[in-house]
Amino acid sequence: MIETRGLTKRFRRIVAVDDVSFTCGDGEVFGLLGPNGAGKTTLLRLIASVLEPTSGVALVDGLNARRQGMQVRARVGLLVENAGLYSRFTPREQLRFCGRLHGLDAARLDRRLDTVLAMLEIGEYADRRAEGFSAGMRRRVVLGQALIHDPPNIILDEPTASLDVMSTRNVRAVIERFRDEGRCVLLSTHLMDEAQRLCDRVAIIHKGRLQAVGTPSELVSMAGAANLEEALVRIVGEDRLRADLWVQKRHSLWRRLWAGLRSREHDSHDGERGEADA
Amino acid sequence: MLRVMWTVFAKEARDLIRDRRALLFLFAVPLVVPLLGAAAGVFVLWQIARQAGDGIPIVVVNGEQLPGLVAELEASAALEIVDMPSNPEQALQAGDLVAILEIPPDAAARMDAEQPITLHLTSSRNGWLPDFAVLAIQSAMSRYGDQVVAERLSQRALGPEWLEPFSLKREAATPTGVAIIPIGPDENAPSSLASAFLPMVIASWALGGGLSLMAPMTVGEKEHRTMESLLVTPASRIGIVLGKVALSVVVSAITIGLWSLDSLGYVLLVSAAPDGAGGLASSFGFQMGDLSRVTLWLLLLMLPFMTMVNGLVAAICTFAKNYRESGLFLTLLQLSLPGLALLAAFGFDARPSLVVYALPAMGVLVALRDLFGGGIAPGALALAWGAAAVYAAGTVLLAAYVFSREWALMRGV
Repeated sequence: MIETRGLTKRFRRIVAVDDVSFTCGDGEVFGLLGPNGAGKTTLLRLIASVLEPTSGVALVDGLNARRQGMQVRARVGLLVENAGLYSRFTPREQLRFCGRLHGLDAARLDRRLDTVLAMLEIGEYADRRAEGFSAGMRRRVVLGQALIHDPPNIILDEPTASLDVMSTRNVRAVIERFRDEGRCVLLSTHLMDEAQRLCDRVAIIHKGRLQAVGTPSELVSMAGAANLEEALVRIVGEDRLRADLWVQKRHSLWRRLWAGLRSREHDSHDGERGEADA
Repeated sequence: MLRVMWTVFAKEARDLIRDRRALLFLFAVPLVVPLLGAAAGVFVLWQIARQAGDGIPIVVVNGEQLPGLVAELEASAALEIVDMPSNPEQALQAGDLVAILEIPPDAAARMDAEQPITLHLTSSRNGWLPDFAVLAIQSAMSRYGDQVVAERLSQRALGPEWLEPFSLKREAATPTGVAIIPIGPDENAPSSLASAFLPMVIASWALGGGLSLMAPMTVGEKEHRTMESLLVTPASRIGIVLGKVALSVVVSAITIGLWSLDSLGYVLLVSAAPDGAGGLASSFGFQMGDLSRVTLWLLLLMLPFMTMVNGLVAAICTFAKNYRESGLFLTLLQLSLPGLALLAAFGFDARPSLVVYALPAMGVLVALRDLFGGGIAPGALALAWGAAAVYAAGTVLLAAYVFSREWALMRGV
């Protein structure tokens, strides 16, 4: 189970995550939706104990991500957005390396390797070096790294990004399987149909703050929208519109000030010229 | 932690073995350069032998005037005395003849009268054979001159010491109150200019070894976006850093070992030459029998020194945002370390204060200078090694600290 209470993260003046509280139970797929730069990835990093919160608490199975980071990382599988691979290593070697860092013994590691390679359908490429792999294949190997230690809590940041249709279906099936196995899945995605199809509950995050939490149908009805995409646009879009208007207003204020200064300069120049002509 | 360290070490080692470019850069240079040097030497000797044939052809005019000199010239394997060709100018231009040594017609009479004799040498300008011919002729003249001087001295019932009223004998000065590590010979020169440059060489070795690996192993993880995959594991950060630093130190030790073997081979090669043993080896202030002991001490001192430098570089490269930034930081280090080496070589007197041996980096460099310069007090050597070990542990801990800090790890991620 994953729980956050007043989780906040500041990078100097920027508040990336602002007082976020939610709970994702075992056997639940909890979706995080929001525009780019909303703070989703930072929130996932805080929960996985990669980053330290400025304030608030992230709990994974009751363990404090800040104080018990190693235990938390052992219980979490994090799929990082845009994560890379060691190009001179095969998928099997990459997964073996990750498994060893997770402290798996040789026998368990071999079993997990077979399971993960089969689950993600990368067995055919398991012994080929990663250089030259397609983006989709890379993504699947990185996902395998997050799953190699059989974690009870899985955090996925854009798991189907750059995957083809078949791979996407495969990953979605894997996520559903995790839910059936009683794992806690935290899923960040841009794809509304994916969120609608997979997530039991969804949180809309914007500018680091949770704007709304509920089941997809609850959010749709709450926003008075036809679907989740429209609900997101309404919830985030109004706020964005307000922000854009504020920026425009501020710009226009500066423009008016600047224009006023320029016109005053012109007036004084014209005056000087007039005096000189006279 | 040891398990994590070994896992990371093995992974980085495998990655290095598969990186042909890095292998070439690290190991091919110390392996191939001596072979290339040897091949070049063999080629030059072969060319000389081919062009000289049975010997470099020279003509001696009025040889009967100085039969002793002619005998010395004939005894030289590099030269062959031939008859005067009909057109010597043309023969010199064509390369059929390399040099004409002209002895004055009154040389015998001047010799009897103990008057100076001037010989004239005309050589061709084709290639570098004339230079070898001149060297061989000068060598023969020198031997003949020694014979003549010895004869004249014996005629006057004088010994060779009559020609050398003064001689210089240098002895190693022992620091008062402490025994010297018996590395430098007691009677040979205690130090030399050659040994003063040793810290510079050592610093170059330290910079050219496994340090080049540290950037790909740290900031490279950020650039290739594999850093976060490491950070999400429960592996201890110090274990990860130790694994990376350990590989870098091992690679540095191998490259330094190769360079040491090259240098040792070169010294042995020079020593095998007729006048080599008293040449290069003694210019470093030690005898051939001391080499193994000196090499052992060199490696013992280099181990903490390399670990220290590698730990520092690991910390710097972990902090760096990208390759470009790490390159900038490392350039500053590469400029400062030779500067320290120069300071170590020339900035301190022969017996510096013990505090100098405890300074970071400087202590080891001064200790190496003294070690190869003839001797070092055991206390100073122990202090230099101990201080270097403490600094090495400190820089590795610094690297581990930086590797566990969010402000360093997330720069550029």
